[in-house]
Amino acid sequence: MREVINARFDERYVEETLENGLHVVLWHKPDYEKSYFMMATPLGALDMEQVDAKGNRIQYPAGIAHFLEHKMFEDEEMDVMEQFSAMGANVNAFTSYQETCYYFSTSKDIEKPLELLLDFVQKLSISDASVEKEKGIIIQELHMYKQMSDTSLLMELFTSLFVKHPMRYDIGGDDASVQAITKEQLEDCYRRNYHPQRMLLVGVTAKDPRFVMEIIKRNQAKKQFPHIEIVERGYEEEPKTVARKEYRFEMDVSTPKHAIAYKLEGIADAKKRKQCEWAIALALDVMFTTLNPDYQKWMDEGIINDYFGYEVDLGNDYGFIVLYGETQKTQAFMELVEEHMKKLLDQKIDAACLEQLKRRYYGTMVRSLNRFDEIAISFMRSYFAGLDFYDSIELVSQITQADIDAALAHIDLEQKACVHLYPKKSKNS
Amino acid sequence: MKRINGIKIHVIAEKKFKDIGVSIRFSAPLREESASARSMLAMLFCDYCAAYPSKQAMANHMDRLYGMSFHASTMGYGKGQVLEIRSRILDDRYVDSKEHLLEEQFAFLHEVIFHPYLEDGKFAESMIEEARTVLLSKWKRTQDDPSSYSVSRALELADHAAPLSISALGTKKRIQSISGEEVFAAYEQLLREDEIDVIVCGNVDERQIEELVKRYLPFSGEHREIAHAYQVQIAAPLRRIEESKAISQTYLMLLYQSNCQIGDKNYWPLKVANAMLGQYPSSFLFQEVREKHSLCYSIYSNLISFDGALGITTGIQRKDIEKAIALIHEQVEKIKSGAFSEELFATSKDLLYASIKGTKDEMASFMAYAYQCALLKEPFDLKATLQEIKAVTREDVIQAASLLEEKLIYVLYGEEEADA
Repeated sequence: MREVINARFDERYVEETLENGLHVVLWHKPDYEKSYFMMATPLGALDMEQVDAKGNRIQYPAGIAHFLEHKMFEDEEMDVMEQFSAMGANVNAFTSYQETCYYFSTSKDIEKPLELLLDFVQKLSISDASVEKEKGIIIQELHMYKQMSDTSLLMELFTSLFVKHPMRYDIGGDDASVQAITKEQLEDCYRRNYHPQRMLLVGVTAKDPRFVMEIIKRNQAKKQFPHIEIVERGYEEEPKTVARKEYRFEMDVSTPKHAIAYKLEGIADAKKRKQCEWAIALALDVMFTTLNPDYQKWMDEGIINDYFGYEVDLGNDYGFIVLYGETQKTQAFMELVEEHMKKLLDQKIDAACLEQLKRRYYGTMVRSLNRFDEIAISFMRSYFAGLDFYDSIELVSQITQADIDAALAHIDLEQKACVHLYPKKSKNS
Repeated sequence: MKRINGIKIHVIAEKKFKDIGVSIRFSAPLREESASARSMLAMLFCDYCAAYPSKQAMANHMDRLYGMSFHASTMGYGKGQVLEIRSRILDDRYVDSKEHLLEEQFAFLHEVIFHPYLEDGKFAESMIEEARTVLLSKWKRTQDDPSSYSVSRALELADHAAPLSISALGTKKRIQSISGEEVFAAYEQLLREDEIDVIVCGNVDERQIEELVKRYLPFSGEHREIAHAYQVQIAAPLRRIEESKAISQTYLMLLYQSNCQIGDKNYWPLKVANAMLGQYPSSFLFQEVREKHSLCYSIYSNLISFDGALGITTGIQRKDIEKAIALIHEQVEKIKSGAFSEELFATSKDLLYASIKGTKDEMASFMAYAYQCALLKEPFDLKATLQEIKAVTREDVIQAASLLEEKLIYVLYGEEEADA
């Protein structure tokens, strides 16, 4: 068991890889009532193809990781959620593009819910009938998200950006892919991706880490896991160009919404990737927020409003920058974004401005250590990316102008996709 | 709690947080005429003040203070509309330099509250226009989201005369027509007459905060306390109202008059009843409507505590409406008639207990709890609240649930459902 103490932030945790391969991290927060435990696998919506060490390729329908997340909560005797409830704990889960996570929080005893978390994630019990029944619930969930204009805008944008990459699908897949998923596929996917060798358990708690580690070890010692071939995410070569340059659709919204995205190449090295992401984000902050003296003018002219925003996301084999806004002035908005993206490419950030932004993000980072879920999630993400937690959260403070120049050189403004969402007239409005 | 300059100060000394939170809450009666002006005012507070007369100047200053957060917004608390100014700043322990961040935070709040940016003694027209535009887009976005639209529409239809039907943002009409003079009048009235609470949480001590309040928050005038909690009285018998919208799902909201005011002896039993009905995965609604009948993805029952109401909301397919309503009625009846297991009762009580106990760990909820205690004139004592929850019996739950009176079934049809 390795103990990591950070005096600067007044935080400590222990970590250990168990005999069966499960990596356990226990964060110690002595003055708190509650505890938070999360078990995660790097199986996400992007895993539509996996490759094992022998080079065997396994294909899955879109949405299988999310489907599995739903089915994990089933138990022959009693619904898993109800069992947690009966212990005074709240359980939930999420599937992202990169990972699937199961977590519970409680301000009561942790022993029983912690054992339950390990037990339900390490056992899949499904039948053909229960798989069929779940399809209705999942499709209902997908339809619910489709009702939200922001989600729809983003989904259409991803479909515009990517030709082959799984990013073009919704995390949950679509009606057809969900319908196509079989019990055998779920079991196969589960076996390969929920092995302790592949998983991480993070706990944030006031309880003594030694005592908690013992509970976990006792639980794991009782179980046998068959050997597996370690799988990795496979991917097809994604073209540099976008799938469609322009797309418009209608929904029940009051004001048009627009998104412009630039397709970037992925970066395989995790640290370089994070650095590049931060560098681009800082440059965007300088160009597209109140730090830009013209920002007020854009607001006054109604080209942007408080909804305006941007994001940069880089993966090992994909990447994009997206800017979105809500405005009646479509043309002016598009021009504003394009003109300023051009300016961005040879922007020199004022040294004082860079320091100012670093201070801002330093504060955000320290404050995030108040939140148990944020600690667990950022630990999980840096762990699966192969980065040290503190290195990863302090990356931004080391960004230099040279890093920003290098990152901006990574942007190709030619690879652009635009999506426009226009209001549709309702019968009673 | 301590009174200084006619305002109430609540200090929660807690070392475990990385930062210090300050929440200043101004409360006045919730009225349709004034709600919009106060919401506009909240926007102006966020954007500018005389010392930092542009968004850029505000941002630069907040960044210098390590990304101090600062927001202002309005919300309804029963008969009251609360304008909250809240800010969080790093504890000095986490910065290298010899800063006094807490004092800087109070100095900043002083500037924002007491020295707004004015031109010729009034708010600049361009700033009013911007606040108007932003507020209107916020309002439109709540209308665009079908689930929040169906809730606000149902509350509006429930009883036009009750505060329950008034949005804390105000109405579209008022937002469009309000003048800069009216907003300025609302500002002066707020400084002079509002009931004001200052809540501070973090690594602080009471004396230090009292000094800071005396120096930086010199309110004058007469700050009268107002009543917030009330019991909505919907005279009309149960109604069913159906409307439609160009969406592809149907939304349902059932509204009940709870006949139990927050602070009453029935209040915690009603909270337990609500938890059993639709707060957790173990609840009747979740288990029956979602798990057994697969009619929906999510379904909740929520108390609107300060108005004495309870709402049940879900999104379903059009063909399932009658089935869903019948199932919901069945679940409410089960609680009223005591047809629930000891297990569901114990579990729901436990979960409610755990969530209230957990408020101590979330600064924002702990501060909100302190404020609620102040409004209800109850001591700030989480242990006492937890004792009250512990003491709730099955009979108490049945008694509280039996007071629930169904008043409205609101159905928002999706015009674009595949099977419509």
